[in-house]
Amino acid sequence: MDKEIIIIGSGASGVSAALGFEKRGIIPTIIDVGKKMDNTTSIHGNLYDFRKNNDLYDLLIGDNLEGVSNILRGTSLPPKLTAPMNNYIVSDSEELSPVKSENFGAIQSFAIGGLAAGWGAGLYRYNNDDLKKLPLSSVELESFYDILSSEIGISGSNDDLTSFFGNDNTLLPPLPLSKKSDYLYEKYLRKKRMANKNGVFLGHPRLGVLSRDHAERKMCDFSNFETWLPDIPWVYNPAQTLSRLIKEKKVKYKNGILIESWRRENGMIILEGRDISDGSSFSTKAEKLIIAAGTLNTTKIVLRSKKDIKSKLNLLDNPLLQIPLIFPSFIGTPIDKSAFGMTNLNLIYKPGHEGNTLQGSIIELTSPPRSLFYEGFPVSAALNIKLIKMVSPSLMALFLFFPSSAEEAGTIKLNGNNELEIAQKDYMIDRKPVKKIVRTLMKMGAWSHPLIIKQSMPGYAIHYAGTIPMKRRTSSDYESSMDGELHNEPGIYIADGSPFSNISSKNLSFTIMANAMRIADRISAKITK
Amino acid sequence: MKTDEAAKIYRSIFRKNIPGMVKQRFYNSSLEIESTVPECELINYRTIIKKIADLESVEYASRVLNSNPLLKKKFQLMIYLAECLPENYSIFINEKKGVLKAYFFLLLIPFNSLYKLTKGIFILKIKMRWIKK
Repeated sequence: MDKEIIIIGSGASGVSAALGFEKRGIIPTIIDVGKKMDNTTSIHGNLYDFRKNNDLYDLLIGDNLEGVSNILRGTSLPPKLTAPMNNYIVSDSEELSPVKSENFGAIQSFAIGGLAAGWGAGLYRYNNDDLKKLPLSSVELESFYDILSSEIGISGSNDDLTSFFGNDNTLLPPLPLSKKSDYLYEKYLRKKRMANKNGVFLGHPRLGVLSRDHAERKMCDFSNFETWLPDIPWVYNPAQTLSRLIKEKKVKYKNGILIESWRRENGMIILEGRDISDGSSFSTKAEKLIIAAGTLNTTKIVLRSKKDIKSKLNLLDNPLLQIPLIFPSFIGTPIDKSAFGMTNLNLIYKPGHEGNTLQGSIIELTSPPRSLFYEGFPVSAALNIKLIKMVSPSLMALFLFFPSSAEEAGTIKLNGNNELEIAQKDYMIDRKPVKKIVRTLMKMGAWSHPLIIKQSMPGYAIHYAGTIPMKRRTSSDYESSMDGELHNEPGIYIADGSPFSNISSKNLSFTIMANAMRIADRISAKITK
Repeated sequence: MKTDEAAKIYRSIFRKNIPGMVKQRFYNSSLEIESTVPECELINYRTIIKKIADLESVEYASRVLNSNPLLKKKFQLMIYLAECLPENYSIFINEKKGVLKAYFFLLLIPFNSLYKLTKGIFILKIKMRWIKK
């Protein structure tokens, strides 16, 4: 391979970087492991119609028992990633990049599209308030957000959350709400004064989910298969953009390669890794290298290249509370078969006084298997099953995210066996705002209780960041410049979550993508000059 | 022993005979669970399956007392396997409106739970000790 611009990773940030080069006609090469789904499927129609006539074993359990891996193997994967058809997203990650940790549930992907192949597709613009502890301003990201928005097709609306999410004229119409979400939103609109006084605001989410056909992709069909099937066309997956770029010859793509480190030789960057099909070694030259392998793997590549097994770097993730919401007026009612089975509404909590703004996703639970709710009710097995039937149609979940900064960060390091070691103390979450949010939601017809609120294990939010902070002036080996360039490593750029040393409660994904594009744009501007 | 195990667990959850397909899948997956647990845990589990009639109470008490992880895992596994079959659709999915029935059922839950929990704790704390002797 000739010397060229190489991007490591085909996830949200790697593909966004490739889009940044597209603008100026530069053709980069993306190298990654690029695991693909083993089985393709041609299931159509509604999940509940399908369930009536078909054995779900291949969709729910799978030949390798992926669907019950949380029970059998003690993993803590979200249901979408245990579904056998989606499990390729995380499969083999323990072998390809082992992580040792007692208290951090690290989730990595070596799939085409990365973890974004199984994400919730929440895409939110960071405003200056979100960026206040970072050396970036929203103006620097705005044009990249716009390009990405038209590439992806983001549904949403300019409503009560516009002051938090920004005014966006490129939005597709919001997705129709599920019955319970509609009920909650109606109540909110009626009791808005009370809710806002308590700091609670509700509105439509900004989702990379199509509410109408967009760029050869079909709109959402409300089949409830979101948890079960891979590469659903209406849920954005960076692999869709990658496929377009390859087809239009705007990117070269080499998969099956795990890049492990780089070294310098006569001023060139030599990438080293292995071919995962046979374990043979692989190397190639690069003039510019953009590392977008996901925060954990990017950090590993950097530490390994520097042969550093001593340094401990900060690692951030959003602390997360899972708050079940029960809608008493929906108990005993039929399940909503035609709902969108992911985030239906967003909740913002903004206290009037000093305090953190919190963001929550109100998630419809019509898509996951019903067995998931077993043990959710503190009753015996037979009653549990009856409750699953009668009460689960009345359930939603509020995933409440908290900001994270260097002060609460865990640490990540490389050990002598080339494994990552992560240490994270339990998050100390201030429950006062949570009580206020729950009380407000109860006044709007959604019941919950502190006893049923579950704090997720650190790492579960999968919003990893902060290992290689972005600085206006870099001074250590593990800092990157505003251009994304790694300190003392000309031509090597970091373009994923790693440079973000503070994360607000708002999902960082869209900002990581816009920043990756911005970095690629700056590199291309220098090259074309 | 094995036949009893799957059938007993299924019956204690669903009050029905276990379908052949579920039984076969249960044993295939059980091997993996059993390979990861310590011998003493396995012996304890086998004793419960063999000697205790009311598995439902014991599993419930085990969840509350945070004991017998293998029994809990097997119950969870069985529920996932049962959900796969189309003939069990109506066990898991509600398609008819039955609000009054649901609330009446909810009213009964505390009494049933208290009974099952007390019985389960009695079995685990007293009867099992006696059986082991």
